[in-house]
Amino acid sequence: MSWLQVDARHFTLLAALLFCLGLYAVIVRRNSVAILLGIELMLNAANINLVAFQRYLGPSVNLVMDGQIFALVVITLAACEAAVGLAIILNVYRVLRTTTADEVSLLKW
Amino acid sequence: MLQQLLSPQLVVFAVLALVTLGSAVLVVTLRRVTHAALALLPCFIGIAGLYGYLNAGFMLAMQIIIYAGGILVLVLFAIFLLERRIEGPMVAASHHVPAGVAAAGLLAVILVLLLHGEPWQARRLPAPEPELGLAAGAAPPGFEYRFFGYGPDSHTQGEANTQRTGLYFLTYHLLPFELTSVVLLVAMVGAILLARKRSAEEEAPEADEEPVPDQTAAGGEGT
Repeated sequence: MSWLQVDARHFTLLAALLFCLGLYAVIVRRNSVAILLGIELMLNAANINLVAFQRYLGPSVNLVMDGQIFALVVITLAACEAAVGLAIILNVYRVLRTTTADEVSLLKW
Repeated sequence: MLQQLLSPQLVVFAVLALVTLGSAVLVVTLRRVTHAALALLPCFIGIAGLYGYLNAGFMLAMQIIIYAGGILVLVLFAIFLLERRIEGPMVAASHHVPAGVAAAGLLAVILVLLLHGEPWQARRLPAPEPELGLAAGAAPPGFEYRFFGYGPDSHTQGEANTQRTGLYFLTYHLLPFELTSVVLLVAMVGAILLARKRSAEEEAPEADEEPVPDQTAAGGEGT
């Protein structure tokens, strides 16, 4: 159980730190594009976990590929999210003349 | 002594992890959004290297092609479009920094503590029966030999990774595959609808309200 032997824990630790950095960006950043960058970091952290768990903790016969399959689905959804999110940001700028997330408060009561 | 401690695997992993985490810190802290987005590139490449380490060759290729080649270029494209309209560099100010540090730090502590107490290797699932895999008739000719040729610890067949990914996407994971294609279609239509310029019919009522001399100004604004 030494940390000198690379196994799933190393990848999970890396993914946890990456996810926390993404969360920090989402909380702290005021620009909507910078918030999207933080979300990309979090999605990548989830993908690292999926692939690492399949490699190290999945069935020992290398027949089942569920981790990589769902990581690919997540990558596709991340691409969709980036496309739609950036389109929304461009549209919001066209209407409100701002890219700062807190200034988009038309629905605030 | 040092050579015994530092196995090649550990060195490779440490380098890739340092590249990934270091550039992720830059993504989070750099003030100009353009710089932050560019710092995402080494982060994605480091993660692609980690996929290579995990013998997921197809994931490596997709990480480079979709993330570094697609999403990052899209983000930069949007940033440049916005900066042209803002007429200056887009700066991402930070607010609530103590709250962010507290939330992210607390989550990190919880996750690391969870990580510390679990005997990971003991939870490894038993190997499935070979018969539970693909039926012999479903596999393409010539595939079965390679497919069942894998031993319990033969993780090095990187060249078959793409083949297996395609096979599983079109057999066991057909539903996620089809759902993903529907989501892609919806996202494509939605992004085009959101980002296109307003069409002539939508502009027309506003133009009618304007007095006649102002129509040139309204047309100039629309472009």
